[in-house]
Amino acid sequence: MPSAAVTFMLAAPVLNPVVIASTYVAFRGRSTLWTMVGGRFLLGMLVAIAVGWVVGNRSKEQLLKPNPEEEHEHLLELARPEARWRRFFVHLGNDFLFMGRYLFLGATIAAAIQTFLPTSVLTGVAARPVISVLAMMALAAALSLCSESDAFVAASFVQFGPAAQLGFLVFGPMVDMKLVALYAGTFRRGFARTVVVVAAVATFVGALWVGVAFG
Amino acid sequence: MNDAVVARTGAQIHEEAAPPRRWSPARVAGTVVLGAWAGLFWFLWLTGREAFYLSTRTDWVVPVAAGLLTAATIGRLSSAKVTTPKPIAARELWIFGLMVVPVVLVVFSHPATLGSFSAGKRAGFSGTSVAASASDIGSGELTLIDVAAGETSPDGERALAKRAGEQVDFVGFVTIRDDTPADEFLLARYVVTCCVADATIAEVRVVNVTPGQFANEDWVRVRGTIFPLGREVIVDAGDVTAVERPDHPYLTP
Repeated sequence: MPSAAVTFMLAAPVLNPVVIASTYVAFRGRSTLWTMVGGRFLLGMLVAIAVGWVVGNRSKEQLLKPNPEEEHEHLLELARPEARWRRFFVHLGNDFLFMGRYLFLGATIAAAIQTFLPTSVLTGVAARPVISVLAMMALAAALSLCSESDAFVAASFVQFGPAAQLGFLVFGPMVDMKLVALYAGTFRRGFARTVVVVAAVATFVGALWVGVAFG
Repeated sequence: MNDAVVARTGAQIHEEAAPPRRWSPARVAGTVVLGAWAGLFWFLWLTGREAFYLSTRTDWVVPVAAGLLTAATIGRLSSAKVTTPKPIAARELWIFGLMVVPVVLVVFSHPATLGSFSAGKRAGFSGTSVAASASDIGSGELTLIDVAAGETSPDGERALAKRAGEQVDFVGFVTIRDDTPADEFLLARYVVTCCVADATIAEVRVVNVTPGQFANEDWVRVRGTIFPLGREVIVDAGDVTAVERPDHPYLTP
């Protein structure tokens, strides 16, 4: 069921005890603590479900690109009996080489942005409710942070309101430079675009609503 | 049956031999990339340079990755001979070449850590919300992590304000900006939760220092009196001495 797999893929980095706990620690002592912890959990779940729902019942062939590593010299090797341990490590190496190139590309872009883009350019939009949410979502995608630690960075942006910080915390773990490169390498273009657009729209609308309701 | 065929055709029947195996250029190239990355992780682990990229909480991944990638390299090398090797495509060769670039950069470049250049770019992060509660800040020896937490949380700010006038002992690197007065500098230290990508900065303004004594990136130990003023924290320097960069240059909350 691809839609369930996609929902799982997007929800896993947000909806887990470690991330919830780190969000709690990062925002404890603030009036927005439960807005951020609860908002991240619920909005993350809703966004993941929304993307899975939009993806619907597309088949595996409609979602995945063929893996060139599997096609290359592979069929002829099937007849060759190999030790299980060797198959494991060959598979491990293939996955590293296939995924590594996309991680390398995404990490390079993220590192360049982190190094050369002063974050002070963002502070000018902090007081604008709608643009600040978009700016923080864009920053989350650019920084490509680990979801276990991104709450500490989000909490440091004290100039921004809870809606913008929530947008950062929900969108970043689902769509960032490294993930987009991986999506582009693994999934067909239309699917990758669907994931990015639906996740962005759902996060933006949800974060704005939280900002209006609890901000 | 075989004998009959031999009799009619004159051909000799041999037991079918396994087709010869030859080195596959693509698999050999992949093995080289894997080996390079395995070597990088061993290098980081053996030289202790993992502390320049990871927090003490996550640096265990380095020896684990070194072991796994070494095994993957051996596994791939053992399967690099195939019956019908195909030439490696130019695009693949480029990709493999690019994947080795970070390895070369890390191994052969001067070991560097995040410093004042990055501190300027991260001005917006100034202060960090880390795992130090108001009660942590309010008692015990003050650390730069306490200071950073006090700069972002209202409770922490109040707890830190109560420590005004106390003696502190901080180690960090010097940051001097264009508008920094001659007898001051910013003492900074990065706080890393997972890896340097999530680094935030803990920063205090050190006043009453000898002008020109220290430059950007110098590591110093500052002993003095702390005066938290809202989100800015000032340390009146009693003693400032140059120190070596610590083995673990980043703080882990």
